[in-house]
Amino acid sequence: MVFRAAKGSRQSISIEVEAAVTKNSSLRATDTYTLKFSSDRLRSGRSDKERYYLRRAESFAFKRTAGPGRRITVKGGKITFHKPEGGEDTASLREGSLGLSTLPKLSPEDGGEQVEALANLFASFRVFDVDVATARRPSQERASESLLNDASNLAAFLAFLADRHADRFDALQRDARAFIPGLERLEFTPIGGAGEGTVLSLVERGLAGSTTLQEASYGSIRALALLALLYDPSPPRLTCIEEIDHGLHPHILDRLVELLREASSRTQFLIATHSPALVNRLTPEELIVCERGEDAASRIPAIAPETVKAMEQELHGELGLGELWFSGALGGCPE
Amino acid sequence: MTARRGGQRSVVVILGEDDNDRKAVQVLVAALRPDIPRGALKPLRKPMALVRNVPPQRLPSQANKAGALLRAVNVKTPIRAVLMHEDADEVEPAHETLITKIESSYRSLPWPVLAVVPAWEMETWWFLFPDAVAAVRPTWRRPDQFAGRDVGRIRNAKEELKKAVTPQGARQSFQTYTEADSVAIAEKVVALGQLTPPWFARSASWAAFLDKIGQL
Repeated sequence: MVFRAAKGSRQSISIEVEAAVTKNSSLRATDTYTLKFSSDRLRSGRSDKERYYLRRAESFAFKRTAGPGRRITVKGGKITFHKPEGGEDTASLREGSLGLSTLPKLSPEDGGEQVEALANLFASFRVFDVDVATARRPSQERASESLLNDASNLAAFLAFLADRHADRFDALQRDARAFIPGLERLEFTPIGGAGEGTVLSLVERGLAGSTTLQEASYGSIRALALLALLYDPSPPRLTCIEEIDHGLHPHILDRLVELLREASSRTQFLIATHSPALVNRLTPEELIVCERGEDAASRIPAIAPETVKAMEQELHGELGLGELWFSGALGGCPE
Repeated sequence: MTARRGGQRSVVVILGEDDNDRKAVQVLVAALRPDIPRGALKPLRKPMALVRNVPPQRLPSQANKAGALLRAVNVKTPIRAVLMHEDADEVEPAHETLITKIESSYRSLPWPVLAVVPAWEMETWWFLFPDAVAAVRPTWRRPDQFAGRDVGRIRNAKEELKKAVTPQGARQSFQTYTEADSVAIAEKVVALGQLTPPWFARSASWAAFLDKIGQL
């Protein structure tokens, strides 16, 4: 854990997550988890040098069936159970322990299950960053039910889809033909006998034989990895993707955005892009402009979404949202 | 005097294709008009930047897009005027026709649109400030060959400036002028207090620029 504050002063940063995961929660009565880091000066005895140490505090809030919700705070090795009728119970935690990983051990009456639900949610978040070099290699399994976050088991995951979700795989293959020019179909070759591994090959129009992933282009592998993610029948609650359009032809951005919208009924997406062509295809509600302030803090959003919507309306279709952003009018551009 | 509308300060939008030119214009205008704070000068990329060097004949369709952009900007920050930069790509007096063409294309907009048009290109104007240019890099030659002459006749001003700052016998790898140096030159012009007459050389497009900024 590295925490760098602005020079000199006491600083803190806090991350707050609102979710509807526990039994009694809903979008109107959410669970919240707040994790706060602050940097405090050590009371130094004789030394001239200033030393700072990192402090951490957590706060949980869950809805219960009736009455006020449950609140638990964890700070400096002390757990505080805030009683709904007022007053507090305390317990101690080993210094340095994270409440999120330790409190699931609590009894259900004390909120253990609820903290566990939250902890499981966070553990499931997918940060998708395709490692093309590793994805090229034959997969170590014949078929894999779960796509790894770096898509290193791409061949095995697609084999699983082809085997157990044939309709889905058909649709994926149809999209793959649009994303990868010349592609006719995908082929799987088990290696080392069943259960040892899988090689994925691309059969291309006009070419004899087939192209293994090892030989395929960077863009083809990225495209297949993205499609695998978008067609995942059991995605996690949150999927984060870096620079999604990297390696893709701008013409397929239309279909990509459609796929994202379809998949977003099963998983929530947070996607980074710098492509005006992609942004052109988004609605103002789908766009969050980010920028870095003078004080090195991130401003997310850099501009209120309602303002973006009002500005877009004034364009009367002359310019796209991506061009509006590209001009610098929405912020999030280098000064 | 800065205009305020609904508690918000209004801005002068500077439109142009090139990042360096827009910033250089911002630096010069901030110095020429200290009554307008630098924060109230807002450089933005002209739309259709996916296509560079759109010829002036295409201006009517560009005007629609620029107009759309400006209306959108105005929603968030009230606009008080627009400076539209475009290189003449020709010697003086070609800048005059282009200024008229640009300003009439945008006449339907509710804000004053003033054209900023250097004859040939921005580098022409840097020949008016040889001290400022030389101050950017100690290894550069002082580009002073146009003393008292008309810089508006220079063709390919950028290439001329590159040659002019390169000393005789310099190596191939010599760090000559590039467009990115434009902003530093503008800042030196301001820092050395060179924005007042008498001018080192003559330029009708520069005089037109000063006149436009005075109208803001």
